[in-house]
Amino acid sequence: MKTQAPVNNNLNQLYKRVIIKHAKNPQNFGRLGKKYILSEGINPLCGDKIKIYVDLNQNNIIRKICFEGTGCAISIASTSLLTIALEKQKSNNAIKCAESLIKNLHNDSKSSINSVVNLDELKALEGVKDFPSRIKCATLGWQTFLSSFSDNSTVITTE
Amino acid sequence: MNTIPNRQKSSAKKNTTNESIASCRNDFPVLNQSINGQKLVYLDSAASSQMPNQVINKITHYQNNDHANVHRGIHALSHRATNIFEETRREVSGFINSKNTNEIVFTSGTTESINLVAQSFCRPILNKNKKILISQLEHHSNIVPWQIVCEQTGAKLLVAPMDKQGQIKTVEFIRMIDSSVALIAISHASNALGTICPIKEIIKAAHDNNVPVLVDGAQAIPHLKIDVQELNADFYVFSGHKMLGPTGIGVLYGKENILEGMPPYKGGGDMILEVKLSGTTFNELPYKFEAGTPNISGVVGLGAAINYLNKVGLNNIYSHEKILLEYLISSLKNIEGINLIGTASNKVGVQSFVIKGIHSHDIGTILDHQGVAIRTGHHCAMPVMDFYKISGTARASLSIYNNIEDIERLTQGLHKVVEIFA
Repeated sequence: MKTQAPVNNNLNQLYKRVIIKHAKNPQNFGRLGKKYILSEGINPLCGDKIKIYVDLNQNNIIRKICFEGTGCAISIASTSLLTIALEKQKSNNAIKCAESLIKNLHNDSKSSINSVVNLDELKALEGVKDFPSRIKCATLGWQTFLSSFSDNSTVITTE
Repeated sequence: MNTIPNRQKSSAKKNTTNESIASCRNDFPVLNQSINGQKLVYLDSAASSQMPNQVINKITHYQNNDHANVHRGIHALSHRATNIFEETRREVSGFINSKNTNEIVFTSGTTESINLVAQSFCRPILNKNKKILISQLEHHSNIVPWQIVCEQTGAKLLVAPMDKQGQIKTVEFIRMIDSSVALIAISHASNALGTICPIKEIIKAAHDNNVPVLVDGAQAIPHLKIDVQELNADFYVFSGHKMLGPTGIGVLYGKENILEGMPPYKGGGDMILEVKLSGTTFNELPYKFEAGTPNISGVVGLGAAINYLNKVGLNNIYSHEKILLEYLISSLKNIEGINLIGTASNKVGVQSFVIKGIHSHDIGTILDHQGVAIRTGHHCAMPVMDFYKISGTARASLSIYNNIEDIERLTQGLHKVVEIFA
């Protein structure tokens, strides 16, 4: 019998309690009523759709982030964590955090997810590294967030 | 927890103890492997089926011994390759009972066959007063080519509705047919829902109004015995890789008199009789539609797949899959929070489902981790998903090589899904 190379993709690492908790009960889910920057991400093959609302004050500090949309447990939990992690951050710091998290999940960087923003729960996302087809789910919200600060306002995708 | 009633399990097992079918599984080498440490259970044949040794070996034998370009050389290999190629055309013709081999055009697959009909048959006859009629349960490949040709010509695309079970509303469909309809394009069986559509009734009603019908047979061809003359379809299209054959090969069946009236779809070698720089005389059927060197090894593999299906017998295959489908449906109903999508009374071996609060990709990943391969997402049928107001489903689809144990592995896997999300 042929056997595949051993893969250490432990389901419990992917679907940690933190992930399930945020997937079932996402934080900051909904839209912002007042002034906000809106960005949108869609993974058409998956059908995941996420809208992110960022409320930025005059000093470039993020007052609040909300999101709405549909997606798998990983994309919803990841975006829910984003809204907590990046709240009250300066925008340039938040951008650095998102960029380093995306790199980290793609294994492009040795830096820890928490090196820029200190939120223990973010570590739960590292479980996707053993599931290459699910990295796009974990990064969708973060890429969408980054597009809020780019001049190009097109809808982003991580597929 | 085993929620499968024993009585039902044993009767399903007994009913599938058809030795010729049960032994088929051994013909598929790809199934003999482990995924994530567990024996592979392949329940994604509606996306692409696996190939038996008989197909793999025939392609290998052809490549090892007989390959050359067809219809061109005078040497031995070219002669042999041409013979195998044309012999397969006869086998395809016999398989679907076309009147003759001129009606069998080799294409790259169902998608290309549909695009060919859209551009070559429809485009010249469409205008702003004409319509193309399709149904609500179509695959994107039986929607988008019609949208493109309607855009090009100003014609209108009409969509006939389906009901909650995923069945075409036949009366309403037929009511939409009138002389302004240039073509009806409809699936024989739905890829997302498994519904077998009432194509014979629709073809009859269409012909009463002199409207031709294209049948997308991609999901029906591996499960049902097809007789294009009995159906009286004007076009019938399908793909090799859904019927135990290779990818990149498919068939366009068209009634000879209709194909004759159509201009070529693509220009190139093999589709011409004479080329002068001032103009070209096109070849006869079916070569007029086969520009360029064809997928010869694909045709060889398709022929071997047809022989294999014939040997097992489409009626045996249908009975085998029907028993499995019934068992699949009754097993799925025991899963907590499940909702079956596509509950038509007449179906091929396809079952879509959603589980409350759990996204289909999470279901797919957790099953894959247990060695069970299913399809998740919108199945290239987004209008069907819109109809049910869902973003996607998980879909298990059956083939000749599946058995009761595969379904038990699926349901065990689904219990694990529910447990993780509890």
